[in-house]
Amino acid sequence: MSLLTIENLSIATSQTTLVSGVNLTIAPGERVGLIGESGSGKSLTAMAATGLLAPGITAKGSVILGDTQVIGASERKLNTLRGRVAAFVFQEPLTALDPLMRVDRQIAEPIQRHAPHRLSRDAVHAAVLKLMHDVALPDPERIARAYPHEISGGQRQRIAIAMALACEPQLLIADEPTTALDVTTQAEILALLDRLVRERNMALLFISHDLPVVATIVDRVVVLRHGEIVEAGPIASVFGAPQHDYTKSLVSAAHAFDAALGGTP
Amino acid sequence: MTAIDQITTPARRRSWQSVTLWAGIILVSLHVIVGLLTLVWTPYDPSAMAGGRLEAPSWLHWVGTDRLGRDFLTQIMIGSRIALTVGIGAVAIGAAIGVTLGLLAAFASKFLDDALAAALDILIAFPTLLIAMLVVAASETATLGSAILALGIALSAIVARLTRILAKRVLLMDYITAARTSGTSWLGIVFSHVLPNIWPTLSVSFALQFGLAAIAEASLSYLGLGAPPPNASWGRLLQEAQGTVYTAPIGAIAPGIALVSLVIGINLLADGLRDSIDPTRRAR
Ligand SMILES: Nc1ncnc2c1ncn2[C@@H]1O[C@H](COP(=O)(O)OP(=O)(O)O)[C@@H](O)[C@H]1O
Ligand SMILES: [Mg+2]
Repeated sequence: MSLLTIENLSIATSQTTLVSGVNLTIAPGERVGLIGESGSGKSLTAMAATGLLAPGITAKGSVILGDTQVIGASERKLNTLRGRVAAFVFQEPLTALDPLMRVDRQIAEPIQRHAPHRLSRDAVHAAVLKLMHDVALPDPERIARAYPHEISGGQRQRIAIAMALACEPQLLIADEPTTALDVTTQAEILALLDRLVRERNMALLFISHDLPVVATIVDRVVVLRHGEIVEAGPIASVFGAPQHDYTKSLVSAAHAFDAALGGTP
Repeated sequence: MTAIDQITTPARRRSWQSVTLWAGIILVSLHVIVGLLTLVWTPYDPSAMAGGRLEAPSWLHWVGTDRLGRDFLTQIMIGSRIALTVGIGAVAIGAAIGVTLGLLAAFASKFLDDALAAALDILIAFPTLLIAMLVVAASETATLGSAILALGIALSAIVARLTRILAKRVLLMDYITAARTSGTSWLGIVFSHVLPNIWPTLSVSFALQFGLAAIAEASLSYLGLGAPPPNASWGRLLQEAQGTVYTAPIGAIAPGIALVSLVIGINLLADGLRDSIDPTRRAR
């Protein structure tokens, strides 16, 4: 059985249709990339997977997360799925953390909320440090006491990843998690996500506008354009023999970029 | 980031901040101490004739006496207690009603939010004092309680509008979305993210409103709508001193200084507190 099954999903405001006819399934442990230019509907599709669309935006079709039909489900029901079945990591690590809350409390929140029983302070602290260790944060004791503005962008993104892991999700949805980072940090975060997904047997939905970034981490890609899927398939075939003009342009842009850097095409 | 902090918070500004904070603390605690003291001790019985009429300041009567021969200092000291009581009471009522309404509006459907926002805008268009006067007029007799309630209700509109705007801004932040994606309920979001993030601004506004309430209470009392005697409100002292302002100006100057020092003290305190509550602005 798959973890996430999206069938014929349409997302619309009262004026316009933003996403239409999207089909996407993710099996446990599978890694899928969702690519497309900015504004193509990637984030909307991902948010619809947990029923988190802004007021005024409605979704039609079928979204089954775990074993629950998300569309039309109550908030209470959805809140039990969010975090536990699917957790998110976002693009902008500064704004994704509460500026007025120390890092350890931010990580502790999902731990406490998803714990089956009340945890002691020491147990929570130990769990926080364990997660910080898992995401390879240096000097966790110091960073735990810091506010988000006191640590670097890469460190913040690691915190955000730790928060997502806190709920032990089966599916990690990473929405452009490296876009706001510099190239070196980007590579580190990608390697970290790759390792965590492998170690924890998570499924991954990796969203990016950047084909080469996606290619390094997923098995399969779905290409979105203007809210519709234009191409989908294993990474090798989409990269090797793109069918749609838009995908071709993405691939050749990536090759041109590699060539310009003097890398292998 | 620390480099930027050092640019925006140079040492000189930091020390100036702590000077104003301390000035605020001293002024306000002076009023608090005097106000508390009057619960157990005053120089004279506030309603007794303690000396001759309109005596000038002397060792016996530091600020002189009023036209009935009552000790002025005693009344001004009791005025501190009245002003603090009204300020705290009115801000507490205004905050309770205002924050609740503002949060409701921020979370409500667009229709309800628009309706609440429009109602608040209309309420705010009326001066605080006018609303308070209407509320007092609606209650049978003017008491200290009716003045507090009236000012609290008048302030709640200001608090509600501010809360609504601040909360709406916080709700747009990515960390709210992040909390939502990890399954935090709306109530959890209010208490762990919205309130802490709007609190620094709200608490500064509460302090400003405390000052507003103290002035409004003086105005109500001046107009005879405040706490009745023997509550010696500064507003009533000012009103009583009006007839003798040329012959005994101290009667108007002293309560005026008392009122101004409390309001300024509160404002200084508010500024200093904001900088120490908000860790992104905290001097390090
Ligand atoms: N709350 C909203 N109201 C109206 N339109 C929206 C809203 N959120 C996103 N959109 C529109 O939906 C389209 C897809 O957005 P999004 O999924 O965020 O794109 P991206 O692929 O860059 O993540 C964009 O054109 C955007 O303007
Ligand atoms: Mg996006």
